Amino acid sequence: MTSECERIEQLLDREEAPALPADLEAHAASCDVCQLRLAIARDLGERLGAGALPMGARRAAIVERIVGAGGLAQRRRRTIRRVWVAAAVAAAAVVAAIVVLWPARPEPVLPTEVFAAMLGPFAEAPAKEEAGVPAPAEQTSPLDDALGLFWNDLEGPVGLARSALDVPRAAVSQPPVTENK
Amino acid sequence: MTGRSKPKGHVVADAVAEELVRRAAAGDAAARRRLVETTIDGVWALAMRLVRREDTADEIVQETYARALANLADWTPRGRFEGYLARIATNLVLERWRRARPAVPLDPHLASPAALEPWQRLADEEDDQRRLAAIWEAVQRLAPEPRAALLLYHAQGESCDSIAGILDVPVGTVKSWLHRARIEVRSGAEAFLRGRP
Repeated sequence: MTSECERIEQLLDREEAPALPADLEAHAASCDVCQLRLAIARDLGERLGAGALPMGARRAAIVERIVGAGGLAQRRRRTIRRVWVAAAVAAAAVVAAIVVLWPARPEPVLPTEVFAAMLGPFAEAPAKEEAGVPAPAEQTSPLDDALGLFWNDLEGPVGLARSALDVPRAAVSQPPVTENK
Repeated sequence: MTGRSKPKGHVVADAVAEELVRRAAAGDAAARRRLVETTIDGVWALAMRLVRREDTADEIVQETYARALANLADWTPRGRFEGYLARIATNLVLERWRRARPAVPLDPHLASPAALEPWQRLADEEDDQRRLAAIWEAVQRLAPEPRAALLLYHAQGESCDSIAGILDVPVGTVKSWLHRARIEVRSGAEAFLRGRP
């Protein structure tokens, strides 16, 4: 590589389409390396966007797919609406389950019970107490234990909110005081 | 600068576009259709110049309008509606490039005449075709953002200011990407054509 080659390369590094001085023009005319470099730079500037690239016959079909009945835009809007409705229904079910279970129980409400209340008839029916046979002692699953630990160990603002909620629940759940005389 | 041209396709007058968008956002199906009809050629040309594959460009165009029509309220009359569409389309292309696997090493057979894309065959001479193919191979090995900047500038004919708006970066960043991308493409294509990929 000659010093002229290096000068041309430096010019190309600095400028998009450099005007070569006469001595470099003369060099480039006889140097394959420089001719290739200059041709690549020229193609990059002039030919990269070549071709009209019309949409052709597919244009009408694509427009129809976008805005026609059942088109992409309509499907997208319907999907977004369904997601919002599903989220609202789920949130309402959680709130309803908590409201139903919260005040009536002296013991803490297990997270799985909230889900069971949400599921309603789909939840597994509790074992019936047969005559003379006491119902089996309530068993907690490992998931209950883990969620219970998480719930009871909450700290910070969420933990404070939980404590605030526990106070009225304890008051409501307290059995009536009877005097033994 | 030579040989650069502005994007093809209709240009919707600002006031007309504003009125169309307002009606389309209110649920007017005819306005939505007219909005798409008058702008789709420009979006298609942009997508094709970035990805150079018709099936991919089809997907980009459809997804661009799905997003644009679902969020018409986001468009403010301060900018042109075509610019809004160009931003969405370019971001969709960038998402694809970022997800794509790293480019494989340059394969000398890729630039054989049989492997050329239709647009590369527009050049008359076989040497010119091979050079265009080598340049395209080198462009595809650029990082997503410099690649987008290079193609928007050289293939689509956008200005640095316009590219900065489309990619949401400062103009200086666009110029830096362009400078680096040009050097990488030139050296990559040169090495490829001289048989040392």
